[in-house]
Order: sequence, then C-alpha cells, then structure tokens
Amino acid sequence: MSSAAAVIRGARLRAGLSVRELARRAGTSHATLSRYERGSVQPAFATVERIVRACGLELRVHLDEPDTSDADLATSFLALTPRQRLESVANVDRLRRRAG
Amino acid sequence: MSAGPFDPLRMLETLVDHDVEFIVIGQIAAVLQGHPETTVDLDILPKHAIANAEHLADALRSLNARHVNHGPDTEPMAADEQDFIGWRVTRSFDTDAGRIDVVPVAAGIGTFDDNVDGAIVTDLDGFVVLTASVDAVIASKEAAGRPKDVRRLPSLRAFRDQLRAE
Repeated sequence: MSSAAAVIRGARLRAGLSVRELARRAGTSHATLSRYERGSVQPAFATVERIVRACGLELRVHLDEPDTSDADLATSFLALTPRQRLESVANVDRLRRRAG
Repeated sequence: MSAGPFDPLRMLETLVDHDVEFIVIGQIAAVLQGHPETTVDLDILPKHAIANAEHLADALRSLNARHVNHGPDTEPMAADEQDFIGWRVTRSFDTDAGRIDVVPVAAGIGTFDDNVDGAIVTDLDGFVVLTASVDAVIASKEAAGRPKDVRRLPSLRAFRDQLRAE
C-alpha cells in the first residue's frame, strides 16, 4: 500500500466514514476513492489534503533529518571483532545480573 | 568509531564517578529491570545544569568520547561542556566503552526534571543510578516511532505485563 493510500484509508477509518460517504464529502466517486485506497491510482498531494479535510482532519507534513540510528549502530558493531561483539552482549548480561 | 566492546557498566560507573546527574533511559533502562533483550548503546537523560554539563563532558572525555561522525567531511570532535548547555538535539558519542546517546528531551517523556520523581533507584552493587521505568521506556519508544523503537515494543509490553503480574 502506498503512503497516500495509507493516509487516506487511515483518515477515513479514524473519522468512522464509509468509502461512499467520504467520496460524497470529498466530491469524488466511490470508485476513484477505492482506487486511491488500494494504491492503484496515485492522487495528487492537493487531492490527499482535500480528502483528509473531508474527514475532519488536517494533514501536516514536516521535513526531518533521516533516521540513521540503526545504520550508525551497525557501523559501530561491525567495527568490532567477533570476539568483541560477543563481549558486548556479555557485558549487557553482566549489567542485568548486577541490577537484579 | 568505538575502540572496544560495548560496556554499559563501565560507562555508568564513569558517569557516577564524575558526579553526573542523569537518568538511564532506552533499552538499557529496560535491561536494568530485567528485560532479556540486548542492545549496543546507552541512552541517558542528563539534568540541564551548567555544572552537570561540565561533569558530563569530563566523564565522556575520560572515556575518550568522540562525536559520532555523520558526514564524510566531518572530523570527529571530543566532547565539550558547551555541547550540553542549552542543547536541543541528541548527541551521540563513540567511546572506549561503546556508544552513548546523550538526550536533552526524550520523546514522549520529556526532560530529566520531568522524570526524576518517577525514576527508579537501581543498585548496581557499589553505586546507584536512576532508571526510567519500563512504562516510561515504552512511552518514549511509542513517541519516537523509529523502526528500532517500534521493533522493541511488543516485547517490552509483554515484559511490563509480566512485571505487573508478579
């Protein structure tokens, strides 16, 4: 499912609306809205905004730095030797036992 | 890049030895309460105070901390107390004892001051640390919503239910 499809379907379900009712409120057809929700047709951004508003919600978009935390940690872990990786896991176990 | 294996006990001892006021958050907080899943970084929520920033920078320098290098042209820098005065974004460091994330405001649970009253005093057989409750760890991961946070949630919720049942 595309992001637009997930947003539209999520907004509709949150508003407790049927596909038919939301289509009526948003000024589109039942068939078109169904295609949007299935992801078989990609609506324009302005269309997604309009459909979300028809659900009584507001679509907010913000820009953010990409989350690189998983990759950063993997890089650090890969820099260790296999023995050091095992020691890292053992050290966490040691901490858990110390607290328990 | 960290020079050795992840050693959270060494990091916590070092922070306490340098009189840093902080709360352990994230997966290590859950580990301290018995959650069986491992991790490879320590997350802390330090108190916002100039003296604490100095203590924290001293502690990190003693662990040979370097800012995590996010860009190819960025030189690693040592920890400095200015890093922790009025800062708003998480700072990550690789140290001789592994990765540490210094978090000014944790998603969903806020600052040190917001959490200190509800923190759990954890005895580490020789010193104590303040630890975020499992509920707080879950709330923070729910709010952060990163893939690595979301992956942990089912196991943490099951663990919380187990703790409540005991």
